[in-house]
Amino acid sequence: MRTEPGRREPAVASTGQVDGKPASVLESSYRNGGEIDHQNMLSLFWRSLRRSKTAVAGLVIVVVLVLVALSADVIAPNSYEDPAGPGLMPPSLKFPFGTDPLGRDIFSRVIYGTRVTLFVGLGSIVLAVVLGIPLGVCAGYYGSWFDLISMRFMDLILAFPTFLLAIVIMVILGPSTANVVLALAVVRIPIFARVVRGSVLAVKEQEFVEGARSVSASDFRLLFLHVLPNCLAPLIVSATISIAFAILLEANLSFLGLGSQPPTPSWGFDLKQNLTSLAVRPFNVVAPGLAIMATVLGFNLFGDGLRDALDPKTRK
Amino acid sequence: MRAYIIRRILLLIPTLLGITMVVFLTIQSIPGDPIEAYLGEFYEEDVATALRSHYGLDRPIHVQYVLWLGRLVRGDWGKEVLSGLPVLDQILEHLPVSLELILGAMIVALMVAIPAGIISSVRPYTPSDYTAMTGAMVGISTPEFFGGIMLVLFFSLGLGVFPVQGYKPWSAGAGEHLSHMALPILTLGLTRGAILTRLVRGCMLEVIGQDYVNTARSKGAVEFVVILRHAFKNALIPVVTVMGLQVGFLVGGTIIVETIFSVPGLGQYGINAISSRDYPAVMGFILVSSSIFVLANLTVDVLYAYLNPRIRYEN
Amino acid sequence: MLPMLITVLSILFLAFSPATDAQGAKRGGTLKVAIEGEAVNLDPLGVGFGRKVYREAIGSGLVRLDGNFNVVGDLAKSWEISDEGRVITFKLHPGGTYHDGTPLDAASVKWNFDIISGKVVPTWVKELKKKSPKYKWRNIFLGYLFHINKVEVLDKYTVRIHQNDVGKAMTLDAMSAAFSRFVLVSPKSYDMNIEKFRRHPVMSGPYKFVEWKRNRHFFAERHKGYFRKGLPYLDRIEFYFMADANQRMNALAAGEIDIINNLPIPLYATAKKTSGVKVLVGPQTMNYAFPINGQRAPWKDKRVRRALSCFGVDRAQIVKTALRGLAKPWVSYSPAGAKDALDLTAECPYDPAKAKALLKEAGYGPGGKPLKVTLTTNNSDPAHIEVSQALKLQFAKLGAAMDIRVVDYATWNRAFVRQRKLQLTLQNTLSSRTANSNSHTIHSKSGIDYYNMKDTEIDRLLDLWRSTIDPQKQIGISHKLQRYILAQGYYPNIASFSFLQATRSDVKGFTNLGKMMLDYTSVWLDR
Repeated sequence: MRTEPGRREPAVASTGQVDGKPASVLESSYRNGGEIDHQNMLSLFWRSLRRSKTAVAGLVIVVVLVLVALSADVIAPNSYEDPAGPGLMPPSLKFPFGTDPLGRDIFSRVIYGTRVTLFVGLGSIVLAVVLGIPLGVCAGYYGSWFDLISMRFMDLILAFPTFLLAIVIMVILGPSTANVVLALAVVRIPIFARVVRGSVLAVKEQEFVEGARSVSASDFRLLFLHVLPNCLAPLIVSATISIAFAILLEANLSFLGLGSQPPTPSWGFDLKQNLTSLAVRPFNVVAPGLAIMATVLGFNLFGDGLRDALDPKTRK
Repeated sequence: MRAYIIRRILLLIPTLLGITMVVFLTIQSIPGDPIEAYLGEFYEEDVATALRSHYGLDRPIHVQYVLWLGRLVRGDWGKEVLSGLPVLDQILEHLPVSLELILGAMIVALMVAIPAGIISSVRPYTPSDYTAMTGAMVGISTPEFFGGIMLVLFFSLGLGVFPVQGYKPWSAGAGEHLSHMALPILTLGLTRGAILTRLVRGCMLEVIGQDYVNTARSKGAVEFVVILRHAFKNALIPVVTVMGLQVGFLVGGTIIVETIFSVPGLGQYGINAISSRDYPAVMGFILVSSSIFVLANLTVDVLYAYLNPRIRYEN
Repeated sequence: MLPMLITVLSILFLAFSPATDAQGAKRGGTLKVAIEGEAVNLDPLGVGFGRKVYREAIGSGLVRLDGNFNVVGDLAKSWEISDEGRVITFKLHPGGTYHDGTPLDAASVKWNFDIISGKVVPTWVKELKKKSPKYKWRNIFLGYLFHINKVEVLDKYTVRIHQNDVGKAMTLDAMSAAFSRFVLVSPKSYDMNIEKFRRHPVMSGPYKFVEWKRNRHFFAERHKGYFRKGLPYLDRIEFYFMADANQRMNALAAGEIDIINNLPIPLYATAKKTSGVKVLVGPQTMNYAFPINGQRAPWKDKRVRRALSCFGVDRAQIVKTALRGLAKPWVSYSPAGAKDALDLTAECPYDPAKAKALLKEAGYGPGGKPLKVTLTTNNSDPAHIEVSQALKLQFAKLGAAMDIRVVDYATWNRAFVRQRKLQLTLQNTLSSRTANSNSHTIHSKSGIDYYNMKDTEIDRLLDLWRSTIDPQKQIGISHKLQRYILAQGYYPNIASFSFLQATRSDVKGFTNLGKMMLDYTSVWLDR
């Protein structure tokens, strides 16, 4: 019902809904015969990305987060698990975000938390992309009943309010970090499957017109090679913004206790857990929330910049 | 137009049927059943068996589904296993509160997004635009629960303007009621407003540069009129199309916001039903929540078809 | 002469000031109480009434507890025990009514006992049985009033119960509190239409049901036919359901509510520093324990049980952090505030070396099998999550790896109580007056002995207790039981702690009765 032809779905950051138009910087870097000039593409892309201050800011945040996650063992002053001092200490030089009721260093927990957050954010979207692309290609390529059934099922997933579906899946699977990745991947698969399916259909039509013949099975590989570069741009943008969305969902699920299990340092869970101390130590409680905001902001800014860089229409 | 609407409404039926089927089948794989939740810690196994048979929970799952569906069509949504109260009554009691939250949040979102978006687009790349866009970006990146907590810290614990939490029905007085609803609505509305602000700005920028707007300008129309009558009207179409999607996010958001502010809406009802494995209540909750979303999408599509007649005939 | 005159004058004065009574209590007003859980329906006899608070507010029974946890009369003005405890004769307060006007007399009390035992079957149960023959009605009181044989009406306000030998000693204990206080329902209203009763209960307590909106509020007003004349002081009592502990605290601070029924330990500091709020700390009648499944590996080995339940736990550290110093390290089965408390904590000093040695003897640790356990807890109490993480660290020091799983209450309840498949969990117990109060969890014949000790010696000692009338002898048996449980390592306890409640400072006459009983009869507002 939301596959209504002609229905325009404008690109909106953080809803992760990206229009499936293949028009992109990649297209303009095609040479005759569909070969791609990678160097041209990259430099063009990089130049337009660099022009946007917000995109650069987003990229910086994302890179810093990745570095923090990778080097958490080195930069975190304390363990995320063992008490480092007395409980509920106010922020100080030694404990920049104070300590939690068990005496653990909240700053260190926030640092280690980047690992969990990035694992869930990146992991779920990679999984969704990896499952969504073949699904979309097959649906578009084989058409008929497979297309009908798989796309109806995608519609069904999209007919649920996303968060509600994620909750139901988590209750069924039981709370754990791996299950969060799975649940968030499931709710995101339709987005990618559809983008890819749309491109397959477009290419199929083009081939049909150009070659005046129907597409046969031997063209399957060719199709794959044609389609993927074609929809790479919307896929990348959609994936980046989906990461931001997945991180928000993870925080919400953890807040409801449906996410990672303690003592895993999950920002949403820590915030909920320490809420009882809000009146006594407000900053200790709020700190993980600020980390969530910064991370989501980073991916959103970066995703925005990517879209502007990849989509010639919005490029100024 | 009428034929289009009728066709769209008929298309709702398989969608909702699919949703209920998926939920009915999957929910049974959740560990624990309502009888155990009902009996609590102290019961004998034969009592549980007897109760399961009494509620028909011992029958094959597809039989249960068909029976449930048959009753649903006749207006019998079943009884909560735990309380014995009719599910439909309970849902009708909780639903208005959530609808009010969703509607209120929508109004707040538009009240923020339209002026902010227009101002940004009229003077793009100026300090006012940057301020609005930074604010919108921060809003988009804030999880609802964190936004709610910050609003509580500021408005309730800091300024003491609104109560921290709780709910007062309209019967307690409109002032009482609205002051309790203010923060939940603001929490939801500001996040959605942030998203819409960016959208309004983007669409306005696209439209403002177009020929007919310039024509209107050159004909000597006042800038204010040009913006509102020509540009905004056309920029509104894409804004309308995402409203359905926004309702979907609001349905999810009410679950969080109702939890934080202790508002007895459908989200709270649903979370309680899920955690006590009360199948009839869970089914009712999911059916109604998805229906809100599906109906909002339908309304948006119809509205879009109305604004953009080409659509109706394509199909 | 002068003192007498003053007395007379003051009596006159009191008599003519309608808003104050003999103790200076003011009449009228509405008390607002925040509660943390919601009832599924309002049938106090059916399983799943869930929330004691409503039952306690609108119900009354034969006996109740006073502030020192002694059994005192409620509807029963007095009672007499005879035939070595097998017969109890209750004299009732005359003149009271149920909320629907039915006289509150001996016949109605007998009817209440008889539907519990099944001698009388309510009409609605018969009708349901006609519809589905397999239907079984189950009431919560049968589980611990099983030993009552026969109930006799001697006159309009005298009722006599006859009981079996085993169990006779627990009747008053069980009826006054334990895990469910025995309250009376109006026979007229209960018998016919259970659907209506579940939404509109008719009982005999100080307040009369007005309105219930599930997940929102529960209202009750003063019952004019209450058997204790002149009570209650309040016009009305209102309960508001607030699932989140922080919301309850914030609402109390803002004066939107008057009492928090259950203040979680992590919020104690906040409540203490809030002006206009006072914190009521009851006696330490609850245990914070980490129950183990006695029938599952590795707990079948007594050495492992002893290692981890006795020497391997640094109770003081958990009390200081997760429990905010508000508990007392304690190892005995009866909590520190119980009538038969026995302080054996010195017998379980924190001694990791000794614990490791015991584990090694049992074949675990370096050179043996690795010890891995899973602790499954629920998210109903924020303290569980903190305590579980503290325990994990302490176990790690003994070479035992622990996984933590936090699930919702329904899942936890199924796994822990029904299937008994949890290896290890956390539990803050109900309040205990004596070792018998929560003994259904350890008596192998109760059917709900989820500690899974399955030890005939425990059953023997409990049965002995339940047939012993002399309180001194009871305490002796209880001490024997507690020593035995500790020696076997069956009950890994961390601490005894108090039920915390918080009220506005102008709420008077309210007593913290632990997690056992709530009584709003003599509460008044100094406003």
